[in-house]
Amino acid sequence: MRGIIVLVIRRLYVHNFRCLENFELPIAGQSSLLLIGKNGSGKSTVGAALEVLQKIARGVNRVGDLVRYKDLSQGRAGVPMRFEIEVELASVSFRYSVAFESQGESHELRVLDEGLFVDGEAAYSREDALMHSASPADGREWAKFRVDWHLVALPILQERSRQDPLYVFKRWLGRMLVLRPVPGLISGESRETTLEPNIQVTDFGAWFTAILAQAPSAYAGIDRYLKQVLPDLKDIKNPVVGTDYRSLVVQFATDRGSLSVPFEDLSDGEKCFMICALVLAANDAYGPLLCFWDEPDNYLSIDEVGHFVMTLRKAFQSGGQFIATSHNSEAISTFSDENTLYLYRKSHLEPTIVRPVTELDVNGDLVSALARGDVEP
Amino acid sequence: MSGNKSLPHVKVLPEDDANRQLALGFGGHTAVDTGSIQVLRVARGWLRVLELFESVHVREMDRHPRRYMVLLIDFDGQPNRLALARAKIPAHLLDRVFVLGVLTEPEELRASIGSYEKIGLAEVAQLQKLVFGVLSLVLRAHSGVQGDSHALYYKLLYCSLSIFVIEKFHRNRLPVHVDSASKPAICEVAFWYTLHQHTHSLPWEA
Repeated sequence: MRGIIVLVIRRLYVHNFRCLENFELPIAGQSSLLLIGKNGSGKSTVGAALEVLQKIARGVNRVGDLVRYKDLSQGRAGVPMRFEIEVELASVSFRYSVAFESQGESHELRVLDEGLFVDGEAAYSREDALMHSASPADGREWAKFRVDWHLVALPILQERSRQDPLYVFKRWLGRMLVLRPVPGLISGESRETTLEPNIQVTDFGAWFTAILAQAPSAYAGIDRYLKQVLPDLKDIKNPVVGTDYRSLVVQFATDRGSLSVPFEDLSDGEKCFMICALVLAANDAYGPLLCFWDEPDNYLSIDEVGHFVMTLRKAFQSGGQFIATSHNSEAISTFSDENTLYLYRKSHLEPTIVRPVTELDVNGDLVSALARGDVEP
Repeated sequence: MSGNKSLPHVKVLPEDDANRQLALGFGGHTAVDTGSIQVLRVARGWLRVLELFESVHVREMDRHPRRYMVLLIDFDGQPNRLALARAKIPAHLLDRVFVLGVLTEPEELRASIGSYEKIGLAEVAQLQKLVFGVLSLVLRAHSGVQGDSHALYYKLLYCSLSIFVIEKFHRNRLPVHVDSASKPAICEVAFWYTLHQHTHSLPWEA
């Protein structure tokens, strides 16, 4: 299915957002990417920037719900905060950008400019409150109207069909996975369904249900992966236990008997295996996706880390892009120099800079150099 | 994945970081089960590879009869290094341990291909298919490969041969698209080399 849908992220640009100033992530051409660097270097902030874009596509349009005054780099209120993403999806290129400006610390930020360009043509653009919308037929401007400048326009524009580029882009951006799971908060219960899990994956049950509703055959892949990491797994059941209420139960079996375990009683690491299985299934069922996973090695035993990360890397080779951050030597060792980026900040008063490891002067192997603190851009 | 040691699995012990990245290409290929191959931490030197193998891995291999190992070293242009390495392998493990590596240095190989990982991935996919296809026929004829170890041998040799054959291609400036008549010969010789490791010569080098 994904053979005909190609995703290429050409550019991710962020300016004046926390520690990211004039920051461009060199992601083009990489199916997987690792971000490394010291604490506070800006790795997770890259995920936060993606989350801003994801939230917009998921319908959050109030600027105050997306960014705050404190998110301005060094509180520089006179410089706009800007987010830009360029992707190629099914041979169509999309460029979305949005910039926010400050009116003072006590005021909500507001939209300075915004636009979506499809194959270089503006689907819409705006400056301050004035919107210019283009006809999808001939690209000529057909509407001008004003939008509250404390609202981002993308979520409120109505797409005309499922073929409308606006719909295609918004759906892709909204389905982007930005993950920082907190296993202790994941219960496996669900009342609704979603293909857009939250960053902590506390809606795991709803995501599981939605994937299987979207592509029932996805269960075979989930089952295959999980039986590799949990050899005694029998199956996962998601029974209705009340009105519109489901609760995941995991069954294990050996020749000595079987055991049913409520999802919430799984270990943190086992829940991460489950999340990994859904990431693989999601990329297969409704991808290609961009997946940003902040420290995927968290909660895993040391001997599982390498396989876990490599499984994710391989899954995205045939479509989509996977970005991980890590401090874990086993995780770092599953990437090569050419797909590892080093993020660095000289001090809290200076912005993040990013360098491919291939451009660094690393003496010996990278993990040892990192442990010595000898990696510098 | 790491838990199931009852299934055949491979541990790759790389000499240095270049070889580690080379090995990632093997493990990253879609034809290889991620759970069956693990690239270990770099040993920092080919002699250290042998030391670690003797001091740690021989005992572990005895404990885990379904374990195979690849010692990934640089030959640095010294073919006799192979005999030195093989001498460190106990006789009962000879069938489960492979000493592999480029004859010169992987850095040279990367210079011609552009990426360590790509050596095992897309850049060489066509060549790997070639090796893979012919190898299956050769393996069936090999009496030492039986039962469920067949699949692992298959994958291991598929990976191993790729690097070996690719290096031969690059070193000798042969076109990747070799003519069909010479494909079986190339692969069979490469296969034989990998199993017995008695020679570094291929037909066109004579």
